[in-house]
Amino acid sequence: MILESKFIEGTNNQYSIRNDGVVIRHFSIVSNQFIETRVSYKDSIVKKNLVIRKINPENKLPYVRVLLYTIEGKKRECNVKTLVIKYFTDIKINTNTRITHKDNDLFNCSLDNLLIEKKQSNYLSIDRPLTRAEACAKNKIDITRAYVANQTGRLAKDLLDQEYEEYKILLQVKRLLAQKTNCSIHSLR
Amino acid sequence: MKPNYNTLSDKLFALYDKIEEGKIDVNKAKAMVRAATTINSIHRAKLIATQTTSLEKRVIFYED
Repeated sequence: MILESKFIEGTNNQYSIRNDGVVIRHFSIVSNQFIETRVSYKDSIVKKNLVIRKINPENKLPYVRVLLYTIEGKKRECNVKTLVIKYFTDIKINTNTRITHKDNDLFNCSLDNLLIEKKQSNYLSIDRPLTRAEACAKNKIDITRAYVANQTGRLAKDLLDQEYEEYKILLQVKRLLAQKTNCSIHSLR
Repeated sequence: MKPNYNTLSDKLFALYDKIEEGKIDVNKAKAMVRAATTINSIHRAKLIATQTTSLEKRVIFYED
């Protein structure tokens, strides 16, 4: 891989990113009460930090970041793998883009080591949790304990097995009869 | 024989098969279903009453 570097936007050419995932600082501002403000030109590699962001208590998202201190005195946090993909590929990064590491080493943010996956939308996923209306419809079709408890005005935990089985078969017979005679199930009460 | 839950469930299973195969008159099946609904309601009422009374504490009546 031929090494290539590009300046990071918004840093006034102070920082650049290389396609092997290394962030370089080209100069820094030195000033305190004893020394006059001056610019120190020296290339140095910016240290990477591992950050574990908690999406929720069970799901954690670890990533490697760099902290960029700009001339204006502002601190900017950048995800290294996102920077590499942004500056060295044409892929647009959005919330559905997931960048993973081929060798599972989070600190190896080289362009060759990064893999881009398109996350499937949660809504289209088969394993997504059912909405309230869908769950109710499913319970009605399957005649679950919760549905029988709701119909009989009782708690599901108080429902006996025999009672549930009897109500279930009764409801199935009613549904079949309503289907055969082409009438409403409510007329069979 | 005194009808219980199992007998009613078995009869309803048999009725289901007969309706599916078309071996029973629809009006007769309707009448049977109505009767089964009533029996089921009675069973449930009995069960609820039993559960409720079993949860209650013994009531003691005092005489003067």
